[in-house]
Parts: sequence; structure tokens; C-alpha cells
Amino acid sequence: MDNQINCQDIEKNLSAYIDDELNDNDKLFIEEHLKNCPNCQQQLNQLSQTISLCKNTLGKTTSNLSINYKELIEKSKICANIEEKLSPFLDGELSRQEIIEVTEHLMVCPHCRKEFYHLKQTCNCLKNYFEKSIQNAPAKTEIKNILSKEKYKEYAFVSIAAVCIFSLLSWFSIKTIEPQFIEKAKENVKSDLIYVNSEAFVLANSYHKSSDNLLAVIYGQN
Amino acid sequence: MSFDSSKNYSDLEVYELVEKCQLDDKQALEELLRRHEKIIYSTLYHLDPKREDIADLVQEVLVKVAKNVKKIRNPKTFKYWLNQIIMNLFYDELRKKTRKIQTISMDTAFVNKLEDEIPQGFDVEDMAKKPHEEILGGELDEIIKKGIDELPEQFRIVTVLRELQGLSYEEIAQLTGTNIGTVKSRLARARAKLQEIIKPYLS
Repeated sequence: MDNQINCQDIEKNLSAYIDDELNDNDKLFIEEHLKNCPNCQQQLNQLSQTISLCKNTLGKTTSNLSINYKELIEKSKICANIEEKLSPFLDGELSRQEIIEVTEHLMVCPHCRKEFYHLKQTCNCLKNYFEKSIQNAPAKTEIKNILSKEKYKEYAFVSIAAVCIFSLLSWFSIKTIEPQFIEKAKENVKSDLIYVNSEAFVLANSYHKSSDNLLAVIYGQN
Repeated sequence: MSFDSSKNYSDLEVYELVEKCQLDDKQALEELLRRHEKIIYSTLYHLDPKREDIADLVQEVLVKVAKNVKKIRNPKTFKYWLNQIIMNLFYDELRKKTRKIQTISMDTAFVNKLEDEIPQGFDVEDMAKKPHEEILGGELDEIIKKGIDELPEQFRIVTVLRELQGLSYEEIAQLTGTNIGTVKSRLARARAKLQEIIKPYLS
């Protein structure tokens, strides 16, 4: 009876004993008991076998899992590569080769298809938004003003050019014509008139006055 | 030619308008400017969301278009050409802005600290909606707008040029001074970020 109770206690603690998770006292107690109890020894053997089996199979499944991970990582690399190309794909800015690559991938990869769908939606939203913003933009610029300014500037340019040409011409004419005027004036006016400029000559001709009168005009005499 | 001129200007393609502009057709130029005013506004608005004087910038772009439309060699590349003007202006303004920030001198900050706690050189952001924003209602639109505003600038530029302007990757690369690969990855990342934001609102 005593032994039986003992054995039940021991069995409860065997798992912890295998894992080496007992305190020293309990450990000693179990080891003492195991020496004398074949039943419990068998129990211990079975339990440790089960545990190692479990460990093995668990290890195998985890190694299987790790292979899946590798595949997944490979796949996700491809997907990441494709995802980068989705935006230019949407804009038709890829090379032929790349378009084929993306299309083929989209046919087999639901994940990337979903991404592409979302991207399309986003771009449509943006397009709508910008279209609305253009429609609602204020149109307050006085375009007529701009056009008339353009005209005005043209006129200004033309008139400036005209003034330049005119002044150039007049400078040229004064340079070349004035000396002739003076010569002629000198001939027409009496010799005692020491100096007469072209204006005097013009006056003389236009008023048809004699050079005597002209002198009076010039010097304010009567 | 006579048939062409009888055609309504609003029915003409953009390149046809440009061709007419190059022949000094003022009416075509007016139609061209009118047709692009809103898209220019929207582009600038999204490129630089914090800016207040977008209407002025739009005018600047339109004036440049009116001035230089005769210089376009191939009228079919008008969209790219227009975006060149927009991006140049945007980059110029950006440079001006950074210069302005640099000129907030240490002295003023020091003086202000002595006088009161609020530095005078800084503008307080107007939290009220701009008129343009009020029209843009809708929860999803607000979410998208916020998402775009919060994108890093390089990503935002690429998104606007692609989704709003519909430019090709190559054109975007040329406009931003990068290569196609960079455009590709920036756009993909920008879209991924926006997708994250939009996803909860999609069915």
C-alpha cells in the first residue's frame, strides 16, 4: 500500500525528473525509489522514449517549416520586385520584357493582383481629386489685360525703335547737311555777316526776305 | 484655310491653337490662355500648398506663355513646354523663399525677444480655408489633399506632374533634373504613401 502510494507520487514527478526540473531532495528520493522499483523504471523508460520521439517529430516538422519559409522568402522577393514595377506598369512605362514579366506574375499571384488593384484604386482617386481641383480652380486672371499688355509692349517696342532710327537719321543729316547750309547761307548773305547758321538760311528762304532784313531779324534791329 | 478659320476656337486641339498663335492670331492666344489657366493654378497650388499669392504666379506664367508662344518649335510639345515655365517659376520662387528666410537677421530676433515674445518677422499662418479649398469639399478629397501636402517635396512634384499634368516619366525626369529610374521609384513610393492614407476610405 505504502509502495503503491509512493509509486503514484513518483510517476507524477517523472516528467519533471527527465527535464531535470526537481530540487535535489526530490531527485534523490526518486533515484532511490527507481533502484528498487522495476515498475517505475519501466515507466521512466517509456516516458523518456515518448519524449525523444516527440522531440524528433517536432524537429522534423520545424525543419519542414523552415524549407517553406525559404520558399516564402523567395516568393516574397519576386513579389517585392514585381510590386516595385506595378506603378510604372500602370503608367505603361515599362519595357516589353518587363510588361510580360509583370503580367505573367499577376496571373499566378493573388497577392500582387490585390496590390495592383489597390494601386489602381489609389491612382483613380488621385486622378478624380486632381480633376475636381482643376475644375474648381478660380479663373480670375484678366486675360484681356495680358493680351493688351502684350500689344502695348509691342507698340512700345516699335515706337522706341522708330525714335532711335529717327534720331540716328537726324544726327546723320545734321552732320552732312548743315555744313552745306552754312556755305550757301554765307554766299547769300552779305559778306559783312561773319557768321550765320543754317537756321538763318532757312528763315531767309522761308520768309523771302533779303539778307539785310535777315540781319535785322537775327539781331533784333529794325 | 477658310474652313479652319470658321471653326470655333473652343473645338480646336491645343496644338492647333498654338499653330494659330504663331500666326499672330490673338483670339487663339486668348483661348489658349483661358483653357490652361485653371490647370496652371491647380498645379502651382499643389506644388506649393502654403503659398498665398498663387493667382499672381498664374498671371506670371500666362504672360510668359503669351510672350514666348511663338518660340515653340513643335506645337505638339506645348504641355511639356508649359510645365517647363511652371517648374522654372516654381524653382525660382523656392529660391527666393529660402533667401528670404535667411535674411531674418539675428538682431531682429534679439530685439524682439527683449520687447515681447512674438517675433515680428514671422507671418502667422491663416488657418481659415482659402476660397479655393472651400469649394473642394468631401472627406476623401480633404484626406487626399492633406496626404499630398504632407509628402516630401520631391515626391509631391513627381505626383503632381504625373497625376495632374499627365507627363511621361522621361518628361518628368527632364523637368526635375533627374533620371527615369529616380522618377519611377519616387512615384511608386509617393503612391504607396498615399495608398496607405486612402485605403481606409476604399471599399
